[in-house]
Amino acid sequence: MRLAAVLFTAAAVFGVAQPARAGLSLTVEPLVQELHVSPGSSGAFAVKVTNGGTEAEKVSIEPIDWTVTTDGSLQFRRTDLANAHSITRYLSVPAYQFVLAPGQSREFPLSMRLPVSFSTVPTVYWGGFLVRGASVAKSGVGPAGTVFVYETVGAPKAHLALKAMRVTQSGSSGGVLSARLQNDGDAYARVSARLLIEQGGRVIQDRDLATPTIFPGALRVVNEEIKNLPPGEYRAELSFDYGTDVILTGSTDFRIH
Amino acid sequence: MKRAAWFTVVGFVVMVAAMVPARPAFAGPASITLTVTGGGAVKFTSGDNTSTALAAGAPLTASIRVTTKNGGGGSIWIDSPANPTGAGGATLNLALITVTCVDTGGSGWLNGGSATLVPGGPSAACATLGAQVNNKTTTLRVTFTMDARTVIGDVWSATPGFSLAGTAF
Repeated sequence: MRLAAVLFTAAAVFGVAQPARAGLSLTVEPLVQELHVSPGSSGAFAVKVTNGGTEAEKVSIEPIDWTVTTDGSLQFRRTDLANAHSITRYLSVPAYQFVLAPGQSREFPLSMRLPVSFSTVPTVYWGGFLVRGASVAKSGVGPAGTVFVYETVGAPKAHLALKAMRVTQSGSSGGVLSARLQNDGDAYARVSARLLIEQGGRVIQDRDLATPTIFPGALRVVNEEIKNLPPGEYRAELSFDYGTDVILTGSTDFRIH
Repeated sequence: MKRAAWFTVVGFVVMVAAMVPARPAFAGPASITLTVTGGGAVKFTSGDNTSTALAAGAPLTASIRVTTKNGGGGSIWIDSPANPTGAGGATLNLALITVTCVDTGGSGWLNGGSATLVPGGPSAACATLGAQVNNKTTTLRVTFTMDARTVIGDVWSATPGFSLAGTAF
């Protein structure tokens, strides 16, 4: 099991033109957890929820599923049992609603139990919870955070392929990098992506790209705007680290006129 | 052969390079803080079909202070209740409401956008957090607006169940 310790805090103040203060505050930790539980077994990890605001808060925890579209957008939905890769139905917490006083925290286990009949075919599953905070005293908008759970059964093959890559000029001093990735393995790919723009062998731009998880069989189209490029010859180099012992790299030369 | 007037693609090359073992593959965000520093209770008001119809004549807005401590990669979105019924008995179709998120802090790492509310469920991302954002703060202005041409006369006040949600992947 690999622990990706993350922390999310959301705080909200409500009331028109109120000064900045944390009337409602919600902290959820972690946001992401990776599990490796065998069919017929169970696993758990600790979730900590904190009310860092100044008023009592009703916390509700609700199962939620999500998917990632080709363009990398996250789409959320309530529990979708039709999704064969969802493990949300196997996730549980001891209490789905509770009240936290200002400054109070509660830590509890988020458990997953896979039935004996669960498939042993090496592949990946995902699910999670939406943790919401709301004022006990009045209606309004509240803060919320998600806990995403990834589950890997067996040792599925992890592989990404870069299918295409190009840069198209946009305006007089910029362009748009377009790349197409294919997850042709059986494992999910949580990708750390990096873009370098070089001119004459010198790196002139270097940035990390936020690329949501690419699930098995999924296609991902990456579009990234590149600014501040005077006329000239350039090379774009895109690299993807997805947790294997190799880095996938692609490059393309382009000219800004 | 005539070359493209302003742009040339030379081609692209793919490499798979060995790397040092045990290098972390992905660093999820270690800490992120959202603070709504101004806004209003969710109150929709519409008296006719020509005027702005939110928060008694003005769009509902909220300012969110976003702070990250380590890492990044995620989004901010809105979870909505079911369509509310107004004082006059009319149902408000929340799908008519668009939420726009603008990074008024100009951070460069919190990318604003817009999303249409989804009655009884989560919207698409209203803003996205870039990767590798460390110890930075900015302000996101969230504005609810409605297509005034389609509203009906009623008042929906203090609608419960809206959540501004943060997600990391």
